[in-house]
Amino acid sequence: MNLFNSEFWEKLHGFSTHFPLALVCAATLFDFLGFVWPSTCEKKRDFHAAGYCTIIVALLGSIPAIVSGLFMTRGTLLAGGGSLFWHHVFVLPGFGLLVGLATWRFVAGREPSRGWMAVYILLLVVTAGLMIGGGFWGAELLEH
Amino acid sequence: MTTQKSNEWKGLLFAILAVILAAGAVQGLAVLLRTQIPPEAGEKHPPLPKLVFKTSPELVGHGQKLYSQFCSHCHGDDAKGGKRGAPSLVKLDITDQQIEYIVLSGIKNKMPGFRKKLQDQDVVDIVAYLDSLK
Repeated sequence: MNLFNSEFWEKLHGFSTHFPLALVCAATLFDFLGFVWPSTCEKKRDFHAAGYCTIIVALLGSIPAIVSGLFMTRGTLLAGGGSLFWHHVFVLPGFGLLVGLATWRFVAGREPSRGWMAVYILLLVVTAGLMIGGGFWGAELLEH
Repeated sequence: MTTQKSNEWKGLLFAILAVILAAGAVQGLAVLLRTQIPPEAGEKHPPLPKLVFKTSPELVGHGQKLYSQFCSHCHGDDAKGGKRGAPSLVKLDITDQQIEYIVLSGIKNKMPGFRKKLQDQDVVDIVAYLDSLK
Protein backbone atom coordinates (compact mmCIF):
# COMPACT_ATOMS: atom_id res chain seq x y z
CA MET A 1 0.00 0.00 0.00
CA ASN A 2 1.28 3.45 -0.90
CA LEU A 3 1.11 5.55 2.28
CA PHE A 4 1.18 8.72 0.25
CA ASN A 5 -1.82 7.75 -1.85
CA SER A 6 -4.18 10.69 -1.33
CA GLU A 7 -7.22 8.65 -2.43
CA PHE A 8 -6.72 6.34 0.56
CA TRP A 9 -6.48 9.33 2.94
CA GLU A 10 -9.55 10.95 1.39
CA LYS A 11 -11.58 7.81 2.07
CA LEU A 12 -10.23 7.48 5.61
CA HIS A 13 -10.91 11.17 6.30
CA GLY A 14 -14.50 10.92 5.06
CA PHE A 15 -15.01 7.79 7.15
CA SER A 16 -13.38 9.00 10.37
CA THR A 17 -14.55 12.61 10.69
CA HIS A 18 -18.15 11.79 11.56
CA PHE A 19 -17.34 9.80 14.71
CA PRO A 20 -15.78 12.61 16.79
CA LEU A 21 -18.42 15.06 15.58
CA ALA A 22 -21.29 12.81 16.68
CA LEU A 23 -19.53 11.80 19.92
CA VAL A 24 -18.85 15.41 20.99
CA CYS A 25 -22.54 16.22 20.45
CA ALA A 26 -23.51 13.11 22.43
CA ALA A 27 -21.09 13.95 25.26
CA THR A 28 -22.56 17.47 25.46
CA LEU A 29 -26.07 16.06 25.67
CA PHE A 30 -25.18 13.41 28.30
CA ASP A 31 -23.35 15.83 30.56
CA PHE A 32 -26.04 18.48 30.17
CA LEU A 33 -28.71 15.95 31.18
CA GLY A 34 -26.56 14.86 34.13
CA PHE A 35 -26.13 18.53 35.08
CA VAL A 36 -29.86 19.35 35.14
CA TRP A 37 -31.10 16.01 36.49
CA PRO A 38 -32.08 16.07 40.21
CA SER A 39 -29.19 15.05 42.48
CA THR A 40 -31.31 12.45 44.24
CA CYS A 41 -31.79 10.46 41.08
CA GLU A 42 -29.40 7.62 40.16
CA LYS A 43 -29.65 8.56 36.49
CA LYS A 44 -27.58 11.72 37.13
CA ARG A 45 -24.46 9.61 37.77
CA ASP A 46 -25.20 7.46 34.72
CA PHE A 47 -25.44 10.50 32.43
CA HIS A 48 -22.15 11.89 33.73
CA ALA A 49 -20.51 8.46 33.31
CA ALA A 50 -21.76 8.31 29.72
CA GLY A 51 -20.49 11.87 29.07
CA TYR A 52 -17.09 10.96 30.57
CA CYS A 53 -16.62 7.89 28.36
CA THR A 54 -18.01 9.55 25.23
CA ILE A 55 -15.68 12.56 25.29
CA ILE A 56 -12.62 10.32 25.70
CA VAL A 57 -13.69 8.11 22.80
CA ALA A 58 -14.37 11.30 20.78
CA LEU A 59 -10.78 12.43 21.36
CA LEU A 60 -9.39 9.04 20.34
CA GLY A 61 -11.64 9.07 17.27
CA SER A 62 -10.51 12.55 16.25
CA ILE A 63 -6.86 11.50 15.90
CA PRO A 64 -7.33 9.47 12.66
CA ALA A 65 -9.55 12.27 11.34
CA ILE A 66 -6.86 14.91 11.88
CA VAL A 67 -3.98 12.72 10.65
CA SER A 68 -5.85 11.62 7.51
CA GLY A 69 -6.83 15.24 6.80
CA LEU A 70 -3.22 16.35 7.02
CA PHE A 71 -2.03 13.53 4.74
CA MET A 72 -4.87 14.23 2.31
CA THR A 73 -3.99 17.90 1.93
CA ARG A 74 -0.25 17.19 2.13
CA GLY A 75 0.20 19.27 5.26
CA THR A 76 -1.72 22.32 4.10
CA LEU A 77 -2.83 24.40 7.10
CA LEU A 78 -4.95 27.57 6.86
CA ALA A 79 -4.14 28.10 3.18
CA GLY A 80 -5.30 27.10 -0.26
CA GLY A 81 -8.84 27.59 -1.52
CA GLY A 82 -11.54 29.41 0.43
CA SER A 83 -13.41 26.39 1.74
CA LEU A 84 -10.27 24.60 2.92
CA PHE A 85 -9.19 27.75 4.77
CA TRP A 86 -12.56 28.06 6.54
CA HIS A 87 -12.63 24.32 7.23
CA HIS A 88 -9.37 24.76 9.13
CA VAL A 89 -10.57 27.94 10.88
CA PHE A 90 -13.31 25.86 12.50
CA VAL A 91 -11.70 22.45 12.82
CA LEU A 92 -8.33 23.39 14.35
CA PRO A 93 -9.68 25.32 17.38
CA GLY A 94 -12.39 22.66 17.71
CA PHE A 95 -9.73 19.94 17.89
CA GLY A 96 -7.69 21.99 20.36
CA LEU A 97 -10.71 22.42 22.62
CA LEU A 98 -11.55 18.72 22.34
CA VAL A 99 -8.01 17.77 23.40
CA GLY A 100 -8.15 20.15 26.35
CA LEU A 101 -11.64 19.19 27.49
CA ALA A 102 -11.12 15.43 27.21
CA THR A 103 -7.81 15.65 29.06
CA TRP A 104 -9.36 17.78 31.81
CA ARG A 105 -12.30 15.40 32.18
CA PHE A 106 -10.02 12.36 32.29
CA VAL A 107 -7.98 13.85 35.14
CA ALA A 108 -10.84 15.57 37.01
CA GLY A 109 -12.99 12.43 37.07
CA ARG A 110 -16.57 11.52 36.28
CA GLU A 111 -18.31 14.02 38.53
CA PRO A 112 -16.44 17.28 39.00
CA SER A 113 -18.02 20.11 41.05
CA ARG A 114 -21.01 21.98 39.57
CA GLY A 115 -19.11 25.18 38.83
CA TRP A 116 -16.40 23.43 36.83
CA MET A 117 -19.03 21.27 35.15
CA ALA A 118 -20.99 24.33 34.00
CA VAL A 119 -17.89 25.82 32.32
CA TYR A 120 -17.01 22.41 30.85
CA ILE A 121 -20.47 21.98 29.30
CA LEU A 122 -20.38 25.52 27.91
CA LEU A 123 -17.02 24.81 26.25
CA LEU A 124 -18.37 21.49 24.95
CA VAL A 125 -21.16 23.41 23.20
CA VAL A 126 -18.55 25.73 21.62
CA THR A 127 -16.49 22.68 20.55
CA ALA A 128 -19.52 20.99 19.00
CA GLY A 129 -20.36 24.25 17.17
CA LEU A 130 -16.83 24.57 15.81
CA MET A 131 -16.81 20.95 14.66
CA ILE A 132 -20.18 21.32 12.97
CA GLY A 133 -18.86 24.46 11.25
CA GLY A 134 -15.79 22.50 10.16
CA GLY A 135 -18.06 19.75 8.85
CA PHE A 136 -20.07 22.30 6.87
CA TRP A 137 -16.97 23.70 5.15
CA GLY A 138 -15.64 20.17 4.62
CA ALA A 139 -18.84 19.31 2.80
CA GLU A 140 -18.50 22.53 0.77
CA LEU A 141 -15.09 21.25 -0.37
CA LEU A 142 -16.71 18.06 -1.62
CA GLU A 143 -19.39 20.02 -3.46
CA HIS A 144 -16.85 21.71 -5.68
CA MET B 1 -13.78 17.01 48.41
CA THR B 2 -10.26 18.50 48.65
CA THR B 3 -8.88 15.70 46.44
CA GLN B 4 -11.63 16.35 43.89
CA LYS B 5 -10.81 20.07 43.92
CA SER B 6 -7.10 19.40 43.40
CA ASN B 7 -7.96 16.99 40.56
CA GLU B 8 -9.86 19.76 38.79
CA TRP B 9 -6.88 22.14 38.96
CA LYS B 10 -4.51 19.33 38.04
CA GLY B 11 -6.82 18.55 35.12
CA LEU B 12 -6.60 22.15 33.95
CA LEU B 13 -2.81 22.02 33.99
CA PHE B 14 -2.76 18.73 32.07
CA ALA B 15 -5.35 20.10 29.62
CA ILE B 16 -3.17 23.13 28.81
CA LEU B 17 -0.13 20.89 28.34
CA ALA B 18 -2.11 18.50 26.13
CA VAL B 19 -3.35 21.35 23.91
CA ILE B 20 0.20 22.69 23.50
CA LEU B 21 1.47 19.20 22.67
CA ALA B 22 -1.37 18.58 20.20
CA ALA B 23 -0.78 21.93 18.47
CA GLY B 24 2.92 21.11 18.18
CA ALA B 25 2.17 17.63 16.84
CA VAL B 26 -0.26 18.92 14.21
CA GLN B 27 2.11 21.67 13.11
CA GLY B 28 5.08 19.27 13.10
CA LEU B 29 3.25 16.66 11.03
CA ALA B 30 2.05 19.35 8.61
CA VAL B 31 5.59 20.65 8.08
CA LEU B 32 6.91 17.10 7.70
CA LEU B 33 4.27 16.25 5.11
CA ARG B 34 4.86 19.47 3.16
CA THR B 35 8.54 18.66 2.86
CA GLN B 36 8.64 14.86 2.71
CA ILE B 37 5.76 13.56 0.60
CA PRO B 38 6.91 12.78 -2.92
CA PRO B 39 4.61 13.65 -5.81
CA GLU B 40 2.42 10.78 -6.95
CA ALA B 41 3.48 8.88 -10.03
CA GLY B 42 2.83 10.92 -13.13
CA GLU B 43 1.84 13.98 -11.10
CA LYS B 44 4.80 16.14 -12.00
CA HIS B 45 4.08 16.55 -15.69
CA PRO B 46 0.63 15.07 -16.29
CA PRO B 47 -0.93 15.74 -19.68
CA LEU B 48 -3.47 18.55 -19.75
CA PRO B 49 -7.03 17.71 -20.79
CA LYS B 50 -7.97 18.96 -24.27
CA LEU B 51 -10.50 21.60 -23.35
CA VAL B 52 -12.68 23.59 -25.71
CA PHE B 53 -12.89 27.11 -24.35
CA LYS B 54 -16.15 28.98 -24.83
CA THR B 55 -18.10 31.63 -22.98
CA SER B 56 -21.65 32.54 -22.03
CA PRO B 57 -23.23 34.46 -19.11
CA GLU B 58 -23.95 31.13 -17.37
CA LEU B 59 -20.37 29.92 -17.69
CA VAL B 60 -19.04 33.26 -16.47
CA GLY B 61 -21.44 33.18 -13.51
CA HIS B 62 -20.38 29.67 -12.51
CA GLY B 63 -16.76 30.59 -13.10
CA GLN B 64 -17.14 33.55 -10.75
CA LYS B 65 -18.58 31.25 -8.08
CA LEU B 66 -15.64 28.87 -8.48
CA TYR B 67 -13.23 31.81 -8.40
CA SER B 68 -14.69 32.90 -5.03
CA GLN B 69 -14.32 29.34 -3.79
CA PHE B 70 -10.78 28.56 -4.87
CA CYS B 71 -8.95 31.71 -5.96
CA SER B 72 -10.28 34.79 -4.14
CA HIS B 73 -8.52 33.93 -0.88
CA CYS B 74 -5.16 34.76 -2.50
CA HIS B 75 -6.05 36.87 -5.56
CA GLY B 76 -8.69 39.05 -3.86
CA ASP B 77 -12.49 39.15 -4.12
CA ASP B 78 -12.32 41.44 -7.15
CA ALA B 79 -9.34 39.58 -8.70
CA LYS B 80 -7.25 42.74 -8.46
CA GLY B 81 -4.55 41.06 -6.39
CA GLY B 82 -4.35 39.82 -2.82
CA LYS B 83 -2.80 41.15 0.35
CA ARG B 84 -0.28 38.27 0.35
CA GLY B 85 1.24 39.34 -2.93
CA ALA B 86 -0.76 37.17 -5.34
CA PRO B 87 -1.00 39.08 -8.65
CA SER B 88 -4.03 40.75 -10.22
CA LEU B 89 -5.93 38.52 -12.67
CA VAL B 90 -7.71 41.43 -14.34
CA LYS B 91 -6.67 41.99 -17.98
CA LEU B 92 -4.45 38.89 -18.09
CA ASP B 93 -2.20 38.87 -21.13
CA ILE B 94 -1.95 35.09 -21.51
CA THR B 95 -3.84 32.48 -23.53
CA ASP B 96 -6.69 30.33 -22.24
CA GLN B 97 -4.42 27.27 -22.44
CA GLN B 98 -1.83 29.01 -20.29
CA ILE B 99 -4.49 29.87 -17.68
CA GLU B 100 -5.61 26.23 -17.77
CA TYR B 101 -2.05 25.03 -17.22
CA ILE B 102 -1.50 27.34 -14.23
CA VAL B 103 -4.88 26.54 -12.64
CA LEU B 104 -4.32 22.79 -12.93
CA SER B 105 -0.59 22.51 -12.31
CA GLY B 106 0.07 25.52 -10.07
CA ILE B 107 3.33 27.44 -9.86
CA LYS B 108 6.17 25.89 -7.89
CA ASN B 109 6.46 27.38 -4.38
CA LYS B 110 3.89 30.07 -5.26
CA MET B 111 0.52 28.58 -6.05
CA PRO B 112 -1.06 25.15 -5.53
CA GLY B 113 -2.45 23.23 -8.51
CA PHE B 114 -6.16 22.44 -8.49
CA ARG B 115 -6.08 19.34 -10.69
CA LYS B 116 -7.74 17.18 -8.04
CA LYS B 117 -10.34 19.75 -7.04
CA LEU B 118 -11.64 20.91 -10.42
CA GLN B 119 -13.43 19.11 -13.23
CA ASP B 120 -12.69 20.00 -16.87
CA GLN B 121 -15.88 22.07 -17.10
CA ASP B 122 -14.88 23.99 -13.95
CA VAL B 123 -11.63 25.03 -15.62
CA VAL B 124 -13.52 26.18 -18.74
CA ASP B 125 -15.84 28.23 -16.51
CA ILE B 126 -12.99 29.82 -14.55
CA VAL B 127 -11.22 30.72 -17.81
CA ALA B 128 -14.51 32.21 -19.08
CA TYR B 129 -14.77 34.32 -15.92
CA LEU B 130 -11.15 35.50 -16.13
CA ASP B 131 -11.63 36.31 -19.84
CA SER B 132 -14.65 38.43 -18.89
CA LEU B 133 -12.35 40.59 -16.76
CA LYS B 134 -10.13 41.49 -19.73
